[in-house]
Amino acid sequence: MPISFFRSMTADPSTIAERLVVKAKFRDGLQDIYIGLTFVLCAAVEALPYAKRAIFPQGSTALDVAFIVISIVLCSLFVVYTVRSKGAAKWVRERYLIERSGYVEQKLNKRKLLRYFLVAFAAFLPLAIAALFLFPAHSDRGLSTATGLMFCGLDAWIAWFGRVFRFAIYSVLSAASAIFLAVTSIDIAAPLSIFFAFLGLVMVFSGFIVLLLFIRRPAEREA
Amino acid sequence: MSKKIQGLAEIDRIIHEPARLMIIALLATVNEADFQYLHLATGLTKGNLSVHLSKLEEAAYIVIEKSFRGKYPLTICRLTGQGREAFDNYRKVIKAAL
Repeated sequence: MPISFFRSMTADPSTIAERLVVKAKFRDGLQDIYIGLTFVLCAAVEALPYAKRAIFPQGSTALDVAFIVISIVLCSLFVVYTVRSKGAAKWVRERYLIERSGYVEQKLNKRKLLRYFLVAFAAFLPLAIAALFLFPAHSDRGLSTATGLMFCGLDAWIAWFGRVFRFAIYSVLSAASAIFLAVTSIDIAAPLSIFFAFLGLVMVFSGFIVLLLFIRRPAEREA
Repeated sequence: MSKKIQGLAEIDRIIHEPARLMIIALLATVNEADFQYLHLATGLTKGNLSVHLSKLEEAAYIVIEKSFRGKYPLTICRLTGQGREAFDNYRKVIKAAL
């Protein structure tokens, strides 16, 4: 029983409750799939100009038009996904998972979200500036290293705060890929896309495994 | 300092019980939650949770809405304004004393 959480009378019960809410949010793996797919789409959008240069180095007006159309489609897909995916996750939870996970309506604390965003941005900015100074010839490599280190921190925070231990693995993978991108001598065309695609696919795969294990658990009802 | 310690004597005993404190703290961080969620999050048995929810409802700290999802009962719990105020006061007293 998590009453042991309350053994320390100095612990703030609200913090403990928030920890349980975060843990519940990541319990069924849907959140991992959602974040992972976002990363994969980011990677696709980011990789498009590199793909164009690599596949058709000569270029032509028709190809330019085709790539603009593909870019617009991909960006529209990204927008539709961003707008609709939360609703889709909610629908899947309500239809298939609610008997296992229970129903909870999260409170949207905009001030707290803004604070988290500012903290993440404040952590990212010095990393990005340092990376740009360290890799003046490869600014995209420096940027992907900074991004990797920032996501390492974010994943570590989720792993620690919500006790979601697979996020500790994501954190290590983020840091490892960021360091690899920083020190490798291999000429990588789109480092940020590779970082997002790698981490996104890992998260989608891991999320599906967690979801399958969660669905296989017997459903409990109130009575 | 002694006044702060003496404040503990007037602590809200409905909230002070660890299981109820857990329920109130959970409901304070969300808009609403059902019985199943509270059961999983608190780790309390269903009988125990039911008793504590009833006590919190009697004190008007939470509202309980009972309905059905298909053939199965659905119990939604929500913290009231009075419950939120009591929880905030409880936190202030504990923080001041410790």
